[in-house]
Amino acid sequence: MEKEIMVIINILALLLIAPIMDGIERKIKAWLQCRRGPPILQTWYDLVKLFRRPSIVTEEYSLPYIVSPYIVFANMVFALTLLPSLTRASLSFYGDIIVLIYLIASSSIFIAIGSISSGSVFATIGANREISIATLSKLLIALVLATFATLKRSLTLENLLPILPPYTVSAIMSIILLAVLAYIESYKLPFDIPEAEPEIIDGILVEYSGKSLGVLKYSMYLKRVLLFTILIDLVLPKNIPGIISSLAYTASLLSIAVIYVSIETYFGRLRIDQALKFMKALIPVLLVVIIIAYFHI
Amino acid sequence: MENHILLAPIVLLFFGAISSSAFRGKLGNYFSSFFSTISSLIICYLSLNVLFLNKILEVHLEIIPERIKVPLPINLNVIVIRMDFLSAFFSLILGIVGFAASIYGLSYINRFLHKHHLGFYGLNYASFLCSMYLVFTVHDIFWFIIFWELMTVTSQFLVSYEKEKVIARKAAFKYFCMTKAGSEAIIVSALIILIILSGMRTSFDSIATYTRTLIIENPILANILIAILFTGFSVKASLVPFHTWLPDAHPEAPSNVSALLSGVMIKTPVYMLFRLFYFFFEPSVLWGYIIATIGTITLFIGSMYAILQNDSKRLLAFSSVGQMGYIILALGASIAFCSIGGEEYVILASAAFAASLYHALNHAIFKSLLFLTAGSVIYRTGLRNLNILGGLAKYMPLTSISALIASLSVAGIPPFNGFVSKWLIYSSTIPSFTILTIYGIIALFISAVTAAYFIKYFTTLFAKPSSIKIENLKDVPLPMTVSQILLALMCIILGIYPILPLNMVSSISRAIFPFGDILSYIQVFPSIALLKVGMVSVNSPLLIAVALIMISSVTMAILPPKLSMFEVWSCGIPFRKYIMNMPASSYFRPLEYSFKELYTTGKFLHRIFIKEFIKEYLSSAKILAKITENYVIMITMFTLIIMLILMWLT
Repeated sequence: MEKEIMVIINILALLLIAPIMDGIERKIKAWLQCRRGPPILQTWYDLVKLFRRPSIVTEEYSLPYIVSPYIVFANMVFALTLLPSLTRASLSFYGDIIVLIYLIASSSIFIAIGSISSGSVFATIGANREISIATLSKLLIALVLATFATLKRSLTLENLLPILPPYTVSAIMSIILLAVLAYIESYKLPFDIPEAEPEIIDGILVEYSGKSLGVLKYSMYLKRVLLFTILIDLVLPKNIPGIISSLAYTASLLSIAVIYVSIETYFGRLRIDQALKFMKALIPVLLVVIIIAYFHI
Repeated sequence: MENHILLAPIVLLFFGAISSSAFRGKLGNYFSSFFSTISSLIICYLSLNVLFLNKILEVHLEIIPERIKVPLPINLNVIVIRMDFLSAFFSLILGIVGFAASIYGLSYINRFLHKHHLGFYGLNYASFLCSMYLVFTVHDIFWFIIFWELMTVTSQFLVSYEKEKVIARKAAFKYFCMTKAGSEAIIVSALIILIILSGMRTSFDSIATYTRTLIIENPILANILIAILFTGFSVKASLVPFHTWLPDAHPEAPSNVSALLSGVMIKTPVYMLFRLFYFFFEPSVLWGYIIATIGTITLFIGSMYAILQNDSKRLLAFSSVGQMGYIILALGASIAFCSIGGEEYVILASAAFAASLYHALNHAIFKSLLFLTAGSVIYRTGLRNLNILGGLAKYMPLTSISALIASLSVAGIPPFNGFVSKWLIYSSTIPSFTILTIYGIIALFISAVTAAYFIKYFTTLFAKPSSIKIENLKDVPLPMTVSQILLALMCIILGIYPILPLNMVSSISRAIFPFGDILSYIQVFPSIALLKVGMVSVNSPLLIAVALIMISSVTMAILPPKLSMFEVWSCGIPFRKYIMNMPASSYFRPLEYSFKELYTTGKFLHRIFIKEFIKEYLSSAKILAKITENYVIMITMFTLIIMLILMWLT
């Protein structure tokens, strides 16, 4: 029972932190571009404003358009329960890592179905890009998963995490590759393709407004936190006392955010085929990593 | 008494076939659909009875009364119809899909009224169902061959039912060439060799006792027999490289028949493969790996080609190829792990065994549902082209919801049924740390591809605006709606309660699986099934379904959207209907482009092997037909002459 309470504390804390983290990212981005930037709580203010507004739907809409933001949100929250974050407690069962991958993928699927159901052609283009990227990234994530499973001989997150104590080449390589993937999946700038603002006017988000938009944006912040949490859990040692690990977790969450946002500032957007080409180039690398991992190098 | 109910579906279907063939109009359809519905229900009842009460049903049917002695080398007089656990499981699939397809047919087939002979459909439909039922239940190799042939012939007539279409005729011919002349020839030859070798005994049990000794005494011969049979069955199961008939043949049949073809008929070889490797022969590592490899190639090729399709039913047909790959991969994995042995691999083997059967059931349900929804769209609009269709969710809400549920099931999204079986496939292959780990990874990736093309299927039919005027459509008539809703509910129920199908699989495993009950290796929870590896979870993991529904309903309750309508934003200019949309052919272009090597290789192979092959085949078939014609005339003449001589003599 204690474990469940800890998990709920985790979730509540991350629900609070996620928009704040986005605020910090915006601030840092502004500094790097020599602007003053909005206050750190600005993202929270935006969300609260969106939640208070009514939604406008299109004349062409169908049911998935309204429902899918909530399903995406639920997917993200549930995915967060599978990972140890602020406290080192998580719901754990055999093969939970596959469920985690499924939840990330199904959030993309529901975003795509929902946005196409709005009837807007911009949303359709955005959803197509979203799914193209999600499909290839699922292949890469599956390969990374195979590396981890080969290294640790397990499919349970509790046994997999942390990856690092055997400081092998394959472990370090797979973590680096996962960091790249997390960057791609969190729609940071060279890969900001499905919701390209100037090009296809926010793509998948174009017809969303008010509460639906708020929920969708909130779940995107949560997805970002989720991806960062995966990265942190891979390296954060297990046997350190509670408060220190919470502090370490928060600090590393912030530092990953800072690193990612400072990379983001120096890039323009890639075209979709360039992005896919980049991801395709990672496949042979990962195959090599798996083979290395098999021989415990 | 219960044993004799086994004959009831046969009698009813026979009666349905005969009575419907007398009518050209609606009655021709109603008779066969009515009797098929009832007999499907009886089949469901029987198989559930066998699976849950652990009682094998058996009946011996004598064709010619015993007192008339027929001098035959083989005892063909008695048909042994026996529903053991494996038969019952596949009969249940037939019962469920047959029930839905038959009800659906009540209204759907009437669209062919005045154009086609509905009685001809009725005759073939009922005999198709009957032959599939007999293929699953007959326990005698000779009669198995007969009914297998009957199944192919009747289904071929159903494929070419709209015979005025050249494409349907061609598809039926290709289907005929590949399955009849190609696969069945070698299946029949191998089975006849088996019959002769085992001393003219034809019942499954006696052949099994013979093959068990054959594999020890003469392993080379046994393996050759397995290879021949596997090749034969893989044509019918549409495994790559013998899959090419399926995407042509399945879409051309009437939609409810497509549902039966994709849902049930391509499961008959799976049934026989289970018999082959768990009943006739012992599992072997080599065959396990070969089958798993072929399964992986099939799931990869089938799904990668499904993305390209712009025809609703053709997309579904390619997806059937892909999903068959999953089933075969799991089967191969279970065979391989079974023979590797060791405690760890037994767990994986039992999970793969369960996954294969479970996915066969799931695939039957969601794929037939998808074909029925595609049929509903055809029923209302007459179109299959995804490029011009669209926006039907407004007019056909129930059909669209069932299509969405089925699409999510195929994509393997929790809490629907596809998730649990695919999950079992991954969790049994990936932790094996053999080559099957890579296969599991490919399967995991392909499930994303599956999701991609089902997003294409669903959104182009129901969500995105259409490019032609589609207005004032109603949802489909009651029988069609009922069968769709029924299957959609089954998708959800089998997803949330995996214990139901896994209980059935466990009774099968107690009978044929070498390591006994699979449920002693698998822990089943609502909407997920876990392997008992390492630490066994004492506290059940959070129910995925319940959690998702709870969280989304709570957020919905706190933040319900207040809706007001506005036109679709199109950068300031008024939204232009029928023009501003994205055709299905443009979907996932970048993704297709990044796999262009695969497609060019496929095109090349198709040109070299299939096109040339078919051309050769056609020209020689023509010559053969001429020869046969002359031959038949000659034989008839000879027979007549001999008969005349005989008559003159007596």
